[in-house]
Amino acid sequence: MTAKALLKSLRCLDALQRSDTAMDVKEIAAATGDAIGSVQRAIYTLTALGYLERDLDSVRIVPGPACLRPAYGFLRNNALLEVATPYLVDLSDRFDVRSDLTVLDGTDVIYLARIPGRDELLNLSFLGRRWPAIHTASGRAILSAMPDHMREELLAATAPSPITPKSMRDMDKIRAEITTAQTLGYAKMLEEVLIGAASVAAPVFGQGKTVLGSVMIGGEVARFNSRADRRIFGEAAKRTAQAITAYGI
Amino acid sequence: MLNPRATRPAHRNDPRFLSSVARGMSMIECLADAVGPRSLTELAQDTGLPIPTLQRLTTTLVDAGYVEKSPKSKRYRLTVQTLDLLYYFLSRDAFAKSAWPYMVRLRESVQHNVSLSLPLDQTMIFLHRLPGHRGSYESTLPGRRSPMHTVASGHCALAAKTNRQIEAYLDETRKTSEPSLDTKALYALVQTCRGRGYGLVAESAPLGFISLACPVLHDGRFVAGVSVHAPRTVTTPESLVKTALPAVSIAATSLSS
Repeated sequence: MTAKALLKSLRCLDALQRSDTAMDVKEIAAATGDAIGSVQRAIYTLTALGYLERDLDSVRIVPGPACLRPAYGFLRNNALLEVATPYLVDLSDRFDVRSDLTVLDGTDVIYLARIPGRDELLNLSFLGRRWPAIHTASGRAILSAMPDHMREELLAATAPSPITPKSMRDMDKIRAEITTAQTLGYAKMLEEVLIGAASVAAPVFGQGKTVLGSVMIGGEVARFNSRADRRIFGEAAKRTAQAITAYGI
Repeated sequence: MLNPRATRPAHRNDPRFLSSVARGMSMIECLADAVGPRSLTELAQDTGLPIPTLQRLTTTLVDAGYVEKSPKSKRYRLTVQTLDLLYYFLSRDAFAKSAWPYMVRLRESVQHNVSLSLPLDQTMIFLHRLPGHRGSYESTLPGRRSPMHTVASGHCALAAKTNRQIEAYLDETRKTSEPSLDTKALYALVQTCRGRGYGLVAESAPLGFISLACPVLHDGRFVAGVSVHAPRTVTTPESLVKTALPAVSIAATSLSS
């Protein structure tokens, strides 16, 4: 048995997250298929609890600061993140780059940690940001470290969904990137997620050689254009990933 | 820990307020407070809710993807999906977005942990946290909540209230959660904070942190606190004020309107 009112409220939250723009109650009801009255009560309650707020026009619904709370519990209890963070801070510091930790969820990678470089004034990818795994260095690193059948399953479930004009549209090319990553021990992405930005990433393993996630180094594309430079960053990401792997999480 | 039974009095008789939603969300918050996964019995202790109610709530939260149950231990924990809620806020909130570069600059300038926190009910919740070079794992995580009187940014939040509201907050806290709270001393601290324009809290533990915060005001209303946190082992309150206050104050003023 489920708590119906709770389920409906969570559906409203879900619909709001999926929409690109702030919605009003009518639009939320249309998205969830629930009656306006019950959506109104759900929104009213979630607003009282701090998960939602009324926008300045008092019609549209925007997120409230209570949304920050559940992730804290998840992240604080995450052994991988706990082990990785000091290494990420060190990486970011040593090379003056952004260093991130990502995990796979479905066919997306999702950021668990991101340590900005010294001059990174634009927060391009917040914690919790999702990207299609196949278009990112970290996703390719994770894919490169998976057992063949799992990788094939995941690739079969994803179609290219280009983010920038430079995003690879050809699955064969994406597969070639993953194969290269298997050889080098790190994967790359040049301007496929954001024009001007590039990254390299290496997989982190847990017990029984299961891949847990990836360590990523990111920055301006100019710093990643030459193979020699990528190798320096790639090897650094690899060493960091190996150090985290050594904890046997 | 927040007590889910304590539905705010304002809502108790409000027909629009859905108590099962409040209980469900408070269960998520209980799991967020817990160290490690929790069993149903432990959740019953945490929340004071009967097991059948908890079963219904957990089933719903598992269906919705926010909670998972370990098949082996039968214990519950939060899932990676909780990050979607975090992202929802961080990516949509104009203030969260505009504040980021100021926090990055502040960290570079003070070389300590820095944070931006928002008021939520009687607490402050971290919106951005950037670790300094001595940063620990926990010091990077947003979403932690602390009662206002325990943190420097919360002192700024209290200082923006009327004296009667400050007294009411302190009395309520003493009655409901901290019987030993020295309300007079805290009242004086908040007044000091108001007078000098910044909050200063030094944790008493030898390995604790000293925090300094300045308020962000929008049209004179308190909306957030900018803080710097330095370990007691490397600085004193006086020296932190001397070295970090100008940068913290500039960041907070830049974010004010």
